[in-house]
Amino acid sequence: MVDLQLAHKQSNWKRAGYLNKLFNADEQGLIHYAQDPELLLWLMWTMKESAYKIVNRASGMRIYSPLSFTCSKLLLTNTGASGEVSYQQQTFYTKTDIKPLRLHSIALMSLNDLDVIKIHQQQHTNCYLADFNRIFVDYELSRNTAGLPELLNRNTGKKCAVSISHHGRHLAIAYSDSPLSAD
Amino acid sequence: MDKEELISELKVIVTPYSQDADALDNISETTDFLKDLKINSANLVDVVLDIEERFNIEIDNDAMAKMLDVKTAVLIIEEKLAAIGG
Repeated sequence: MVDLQLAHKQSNWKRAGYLNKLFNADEQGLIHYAQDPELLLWLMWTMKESAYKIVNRASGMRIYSPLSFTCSKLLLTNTGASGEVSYQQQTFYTKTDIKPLRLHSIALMSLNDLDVIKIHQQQHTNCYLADFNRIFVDYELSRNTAGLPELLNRNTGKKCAVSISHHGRHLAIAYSDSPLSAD
Repeated sequence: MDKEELISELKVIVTPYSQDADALDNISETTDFLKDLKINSANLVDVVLDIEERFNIEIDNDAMAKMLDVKTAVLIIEEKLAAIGG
């Protein structure tokens, strides 16, 4: 999730060296020639971040290496985008929801999984877990002792795949009742 | 420059990006840039660029990949300074 207004305030992407540390030559080319360079920058940033989240969850490894994640096959419309991110030998498929003031990307290990993911966006408050649980009475969203989100389907008693992302005032919860390839 | 001085230099650098005032006040070797200081990951690159400018060193991609906490940042700065004879 990127709050575009906040990102504009927080990051000066035009400073020397900034793009070189985050994007390879092809990706920088896309940014430079884009109608809205800043949008494309944050689009690819969220693609890389969402793919990193899968790697981090699977391996437990923490790294800050945006250049190791390469964006490709970008398809952009007014309201969304799709693409791929490769990391070492792995390919992740991404889908991005673009709203006027925010964009949100998800990454998955299988294209089929993209269709089973549900996404709920809400305000980022101190009680966002309770806010979610109030709306979705069939689910219980919590955080475990390691700080990772957990989502229980109260009807089936099964845990769902879930991932939370936030920036500024915006928060998105991506979840699925079906098991995913990454599980 | 000893470790304490490096940490206080780092504190100056991370201050504009930190979102947790208490963690910033109590910055130490064990402080994590993301988990403790709540620095936005898109701003971590600014921290790296500011460190490069302040110490006149180049932080390559492999070093940047590990730069998630004060302890590692100090180690990397020391290493890079030693390499250029600083």
